[in-house]
Amino acid sequence: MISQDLLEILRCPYCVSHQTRQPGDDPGRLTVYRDCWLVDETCGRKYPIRDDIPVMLIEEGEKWMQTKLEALPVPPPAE
Amino acid sequence: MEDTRTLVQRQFGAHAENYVTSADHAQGESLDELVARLPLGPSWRVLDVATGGGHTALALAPHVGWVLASDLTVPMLQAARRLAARRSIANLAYPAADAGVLPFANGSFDLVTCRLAAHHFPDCAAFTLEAARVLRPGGWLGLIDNVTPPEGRPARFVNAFEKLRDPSHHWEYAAADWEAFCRAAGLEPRVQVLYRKPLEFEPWCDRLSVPAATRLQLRALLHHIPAVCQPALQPALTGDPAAGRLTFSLGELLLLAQKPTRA
Repeated sequence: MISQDLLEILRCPYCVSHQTRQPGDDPGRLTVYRDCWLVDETCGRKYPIRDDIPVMLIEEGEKWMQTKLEALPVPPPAE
Repeated sequence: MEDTRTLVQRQFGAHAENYVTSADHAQGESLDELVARLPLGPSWRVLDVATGGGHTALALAPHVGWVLASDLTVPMLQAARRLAARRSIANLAYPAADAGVLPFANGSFDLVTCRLAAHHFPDCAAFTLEAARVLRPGGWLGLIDNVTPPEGRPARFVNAFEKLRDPSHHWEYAAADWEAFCRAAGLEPRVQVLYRKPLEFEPWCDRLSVPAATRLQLRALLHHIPAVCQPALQPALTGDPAAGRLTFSLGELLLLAQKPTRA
């Protein structure tokens, strides 16, 4: 289970980082889905939480871009 | 051809526990200096980038409020978490992250550290920009890494030597390069200390299960090192060139740089 403190500062790496930063004061905010996914509802990238480790790698988030929320596997599959 | 990130994930995924138990990574004069020189406090939030075995994160955790130990490689994070559990240190979290694309809001941290890892990064300028972005105004970057002399030939020799042993090695820079990365990212270098780090050749190879044929090549490089490169590695052999006790040393930099405090 991800802590509220961590959720406060975690962002979608694609949207927040300097090379691909998206517009706005605070891009890349994430919401938790079923305690095991972090979802950027603006860009659609979805990051799995595996073994309590949020895997915040862009290629991982992009694997699930086209997957609808309700179709995300719970728990996320192993790498 | 595989990129450095993929090589890092494979290399460190396969040898994660070796970095937890490595004495060269567990401790060091530069790590003690980093902890001693910074005004750490219980309200501080720290990000340790490419934490590896978690040694830097664990050294800082008792002095600050919270440490995020991040790494590109999930098995490394699992190994670091096991080490923290054995030491009953609990104020840590373990997000997987790429050093050049940090998944954190601007101004999230009082301190970003990176120790003995930046020579694996494909883009150290990008890492430094990201570190500066996630620091609060007045926050600190604490970098420790292997460094080369500023001259071209010794720098190329050291990097070729390191890359032969570890294909995930990308490039280790000179101290002046790190100063330039910091200034380009808007960070002000405040402290720079250079060390010599003595290493035993065989345990250094054992940590990455270097094959016997590659060990012989590495030994030959040290045995026939050009005079101009000798001060960069300082090899010393006792006995047979192919099997005798061999030591050498690497340069190491501690750099503390501060993000300006806005008025």
